Amino acid sequence: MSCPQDPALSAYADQEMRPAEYAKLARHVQGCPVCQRRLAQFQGLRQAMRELPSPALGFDLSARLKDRLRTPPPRPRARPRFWTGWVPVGLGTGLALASGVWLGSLLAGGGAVSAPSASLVRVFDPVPPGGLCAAVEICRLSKAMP
Amino acid sequence: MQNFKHLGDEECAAHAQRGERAAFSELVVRYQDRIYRFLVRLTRSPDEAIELAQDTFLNAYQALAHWQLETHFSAWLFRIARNLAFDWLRRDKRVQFVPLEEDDGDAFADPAPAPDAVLETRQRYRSLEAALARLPAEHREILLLREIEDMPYQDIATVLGLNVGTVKSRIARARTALLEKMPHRPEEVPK
Repeated sequence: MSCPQDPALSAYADQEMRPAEYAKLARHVQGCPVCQRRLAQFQGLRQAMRELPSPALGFDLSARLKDRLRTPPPRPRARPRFWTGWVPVGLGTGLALASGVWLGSLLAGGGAVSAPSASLVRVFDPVPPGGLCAAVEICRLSKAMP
Repeated sequence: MQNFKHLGDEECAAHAQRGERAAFSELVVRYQDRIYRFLVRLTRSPDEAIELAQDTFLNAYQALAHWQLETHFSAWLFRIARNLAFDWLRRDKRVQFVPLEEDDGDAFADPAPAPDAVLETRQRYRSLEAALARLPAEHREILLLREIEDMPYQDIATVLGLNVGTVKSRIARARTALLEKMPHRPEEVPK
């Protein structure tokens, strides 16, 4: 086995490996002075960091926060149950679909909507519906039209 | 008033979630020094660390509804502290890199004259603190969580919002970087 890279050795030092992987690496480290030295560096670093004096806050923070924690924290919202969560959405979707199908069938049926007769369509009527008559001749003309 | 001292962190947090302030106060007592020391080393500002520690617990109290039983309370709390510290560090680009020779390292110094061994120990602490301060904040935070707070990789992943594989490789890189910045390798330093 070739020497493992730093991430593997570092995880080995932390015992953050699967047991089989750990055992394999342990066998290698036992016989490899290079890896032993690297491992000793990682372990020495941890030891040194744990020995550092720990700065402490020096007062009771909970007492200082007491007044600011008077109001109770917002309660966790209950997760919506199936019946209250999805059923209204499903019902609404179903109703929308059903009304769409119904309206569509009315149009496709052909009986409900019929084209107006040509005599009723005055495309070129000079006077718009509800408009005032601009000249007598024009109005007469429009009334005379079939 | 109910006593919460005998309860685990998660049980306390569950009580606090139900509105029992004493349970939350118990958590503040348990974590105030850990959160403070993490923030001091991350921000390099003891005054700011006090403010941030205070904000951490206030934010945690307000956000208790979002904490879930399956997440370790400590990881969740450190995540809040870490995010507040990084917001502060990013504001006005306050990320500092203190050169070894400029660091006075006297924050924990004893004014009384000391024998050689004590002096040597103090020098070693000073070098390590200075080397830590010179690391990028991303390396510093992960080493603090692993080496000082003794967090498992999974919890570190929760705090930093990373996957465990990234945590593993970042810890290794941070260790290598710190070793390179130290004048004496830890295993070479006489004790």
